[in-house]
Amino acid sequence: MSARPLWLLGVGAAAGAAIAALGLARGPRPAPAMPADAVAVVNDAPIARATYAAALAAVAGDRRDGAIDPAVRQRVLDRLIEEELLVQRGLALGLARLDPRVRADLVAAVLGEVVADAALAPAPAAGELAALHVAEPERFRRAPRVTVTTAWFAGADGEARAAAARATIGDDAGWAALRADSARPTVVVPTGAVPAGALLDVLGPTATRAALTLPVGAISAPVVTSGGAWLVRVEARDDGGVAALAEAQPEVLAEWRKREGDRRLRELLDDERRAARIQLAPNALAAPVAAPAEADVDEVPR
Amino acid sequence: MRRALRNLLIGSVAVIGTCGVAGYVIYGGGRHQGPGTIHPHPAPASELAARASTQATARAGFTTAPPARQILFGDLHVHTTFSADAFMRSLPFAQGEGAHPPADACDYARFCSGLDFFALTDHAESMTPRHWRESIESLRQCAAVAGDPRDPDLVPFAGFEWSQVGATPAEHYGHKNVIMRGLDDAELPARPIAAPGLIGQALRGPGIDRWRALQVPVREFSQRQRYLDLRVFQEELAAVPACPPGVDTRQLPAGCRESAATPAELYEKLAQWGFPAMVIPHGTTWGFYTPPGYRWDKQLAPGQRDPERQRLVEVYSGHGNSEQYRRWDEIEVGADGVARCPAPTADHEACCWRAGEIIRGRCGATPAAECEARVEAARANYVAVGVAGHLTVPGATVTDWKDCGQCRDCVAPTFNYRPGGSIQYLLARGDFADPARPYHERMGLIASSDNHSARPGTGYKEIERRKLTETVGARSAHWRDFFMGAPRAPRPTSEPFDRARLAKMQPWQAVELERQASFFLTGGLVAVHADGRSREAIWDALAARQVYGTSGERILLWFDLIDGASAPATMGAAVDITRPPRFRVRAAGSFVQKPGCPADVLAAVPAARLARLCQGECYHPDDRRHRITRVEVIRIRPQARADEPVDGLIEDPWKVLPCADQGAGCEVEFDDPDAIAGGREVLYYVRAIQEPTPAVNGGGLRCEREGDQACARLTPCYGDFRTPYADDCTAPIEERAWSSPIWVTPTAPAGAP
Repeated sequence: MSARPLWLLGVGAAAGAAIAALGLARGPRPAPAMPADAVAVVNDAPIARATYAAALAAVAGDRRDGAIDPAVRQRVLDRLIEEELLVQRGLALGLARLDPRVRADLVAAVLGEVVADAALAPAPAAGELAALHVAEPERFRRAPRVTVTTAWFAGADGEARAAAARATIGDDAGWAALRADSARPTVVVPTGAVPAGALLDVLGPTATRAALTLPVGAISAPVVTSGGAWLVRVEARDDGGVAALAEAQPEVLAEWRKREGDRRLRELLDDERRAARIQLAPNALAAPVAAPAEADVDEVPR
Repeated sequence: MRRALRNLLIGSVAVIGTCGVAGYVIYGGGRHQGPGTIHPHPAPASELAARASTQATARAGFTTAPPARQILFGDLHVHTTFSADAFMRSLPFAQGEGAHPPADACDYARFCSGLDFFALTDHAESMTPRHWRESIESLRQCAAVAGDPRDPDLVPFAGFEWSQVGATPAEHYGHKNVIMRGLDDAELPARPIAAPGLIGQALRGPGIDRWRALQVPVREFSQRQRYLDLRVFQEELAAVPACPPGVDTRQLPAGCRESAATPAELYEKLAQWGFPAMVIPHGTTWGFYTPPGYRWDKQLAPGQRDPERQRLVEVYSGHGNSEQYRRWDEIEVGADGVARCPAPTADHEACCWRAGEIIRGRCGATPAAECEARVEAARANYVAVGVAGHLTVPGATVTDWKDCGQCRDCVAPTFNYRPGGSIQYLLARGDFADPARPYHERMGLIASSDNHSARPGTGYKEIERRKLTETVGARSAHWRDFFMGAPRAPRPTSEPFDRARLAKMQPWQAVELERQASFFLTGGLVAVHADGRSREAIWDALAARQVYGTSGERILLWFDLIDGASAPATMGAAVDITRPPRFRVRAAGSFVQKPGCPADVLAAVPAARLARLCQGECYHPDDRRHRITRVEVIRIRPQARADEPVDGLIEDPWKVLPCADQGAGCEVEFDDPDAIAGGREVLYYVRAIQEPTPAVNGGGLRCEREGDQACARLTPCYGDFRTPYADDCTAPIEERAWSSPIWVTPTAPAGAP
């Protein structure tokens, strides 16, 4: 061994001893100044007095007598300090990146922030809504509605009487006269324009199907049900159609806001992607598909 | 030596590593169960196909015409496995069928039961901030695929259940659902509002001790995932801190657990939010958790009532019928304030009394005086511990208890009936704190399911007791003993329990799970007479009490005041009358159901989804209706003074009006010539009774009468392995619909002196 390394080792040891001596002479590093609104500082992270007060109030609320003695105060403060330590430990361990639960919560929180911001955005110009309405009219299509009138033929011979009556109806007046002569049904058939579903529970499936499929003005064949038979005439049918902008304004605005949220999110993500260093493996898109997660359906054990 | 140390080190590492791997395999991998995926199909295929194939001519102005009044059916009381008790009952040991998240509720309502609206009402006590957020988002997705908001195919409402339970009648208020009108953030609370106390502790607790919890994934290795997921659920629940009290609800941090100890606090918090919300009490007679001796009275007091938000009450659910008042009670409280056990009557035997009779049956050759002392002690011990009274008789079986505590002459009553919470009682009782302005409840009557597997509207077919009702029970004696403890051996004396000892037990051991199983029914429905299908139209009908409840069948019901007032009125109305009131009732039975599902549903939903969610059976009506056999009218004169006995004010039935219905419905009219002369407010509501049809658990405990004994023998329908899994325990019942009341107050006619 040459003398040079020994010399260097000696210099290094002397420098280390000097630094250690300096450290001893300076004493412990002074704690950072306590912020006025903090009750403690944990590794530079303050615990706010308001947080402490809220935690004390929560504990008091859970206690029957609501009393908070010094020991409880100490316990609560210790708990907050330990919670902060755990948060810091979790961040140091990278849980925000590695734990799927924490990741999902973080992602949801950021998404929620962006969407909430969009909801508070100023109302768009009328032209923007009109453009959206024109561009995607199917989104604002109305559900079909049908208006029917009925004639009810009560009794076991209802079907035969309904068929005979149907054969003799000439025009609107004939139908009106027939309805006036026929029995009043117990059930109340909706008198205006309704979705077909509203007829189902009143008239039954066969009459509802007739209301959906017959041309306007046509009268159904007798629809036999218990206690009698129906004739159903389709008075009008609105196949939906696209609602005018004035009528659909709230929906168009809601859709605009949804898209605004999407747009802002996209913008945020694009900014982040630009700022980030992202490297893709050459075969990234060829990665194998993982086995599907275990189904959440249990076989019921017997 | 060094080699030995090295081998020891290698061996230790191997053992530790193996244990670690085994531990991870057995206990690792618990995960949050998310909200599920809604099947993206907005409208029945047949409707769309019909629309396309029709050459129709729309009339001018048609699209802006207001929709006609229509009856819509819904379910405002639905739990998913976001409720901790629903999660527990979905586990394999309880013969559960796995997760049923919020998305299932939407798909079930849309495709299986074909409802028009529903609300999610998971227990606030066991919802984490994440559950609440995901639940709302799922409902929004459900609404997003409902099509035209003017005529959506399905309207989902957000809500939660405030599940308050008190150990004594003085502390007990009961459960209430809170439903909000909108799904926007501005119309929803930041967090559900829970009740502190017993239920919260039960729902948030582990259910079993730590040692057993460790064993379960080993014993159920192939099914361990569900148990591990439950553990994740419980850890997440435990990590949610309590919100600080006394802070305006809008100022609270989003991620805390908010509590309201009384209805007054709940109303105050809802008032702080300010958006439209409805509070719906339910299970008001259900003795599973309601302490004996409970009465509605204190909820009439100023502060504890909210006539604006609490406008509806649930008369019927899958837990049974809470309608009728009875004079008897489970306990008698004397003038000295001491609770005693009442002697049996022809229509009721209190369980404290039966406890004494069970002990009497074990006396054998014991001298009579000693035996009688044991009997008295047994009664007193039972009374002392309320809903846990069954624990005081060691080794007593379900059949030993016979039908004690039950309403023998009620139709499909709730288990361990508490008449002081009955709908008739709360409508009749008054509060006279301000003598100048007596207060009476004016609530519309609804029914719902209280289903715990995300299945709104289960009552359309009476099938699958284990899946479509709340029936739950261990799949074997082994699992029963593991979770509940082995049955105790009979002893000749009763065993006293105090509250401290009860507090140490697992919550599910302190309630009567076994007997309860015979009382679970398929769900009821709420029907609204609405001016359209929109969210707002449905809400307005609910708020106007233009509602009725059914026991699950889609019975059509109209109940109108047609004379006596200045204008006609419909159910839910409160009107002044100047002439004797005359009423009209129209009712039509539900449609007979065809097997399977309609073609449009079959075409729209994957077969596996239909098989799991709907059990392959959907709402699928035929053209024929069940017959309505009669209409029963109930007249109640709400108390005029605090000491007026309630039972004399409730007339049930006041009138029975037979129907000659051949399947097309029934129409009857009635009047009350005495209403004016009575000079006091009177309310009327009607029951439309349908012909008997088989219903799951329709026979309750299935008692057989013998001589004077109302329940000499019984054949309970168990929730556990003792009743075959496929046995639906059907028995005929008369399905029914309950109208909301019409309140009439006689006044002098205009111009009268």
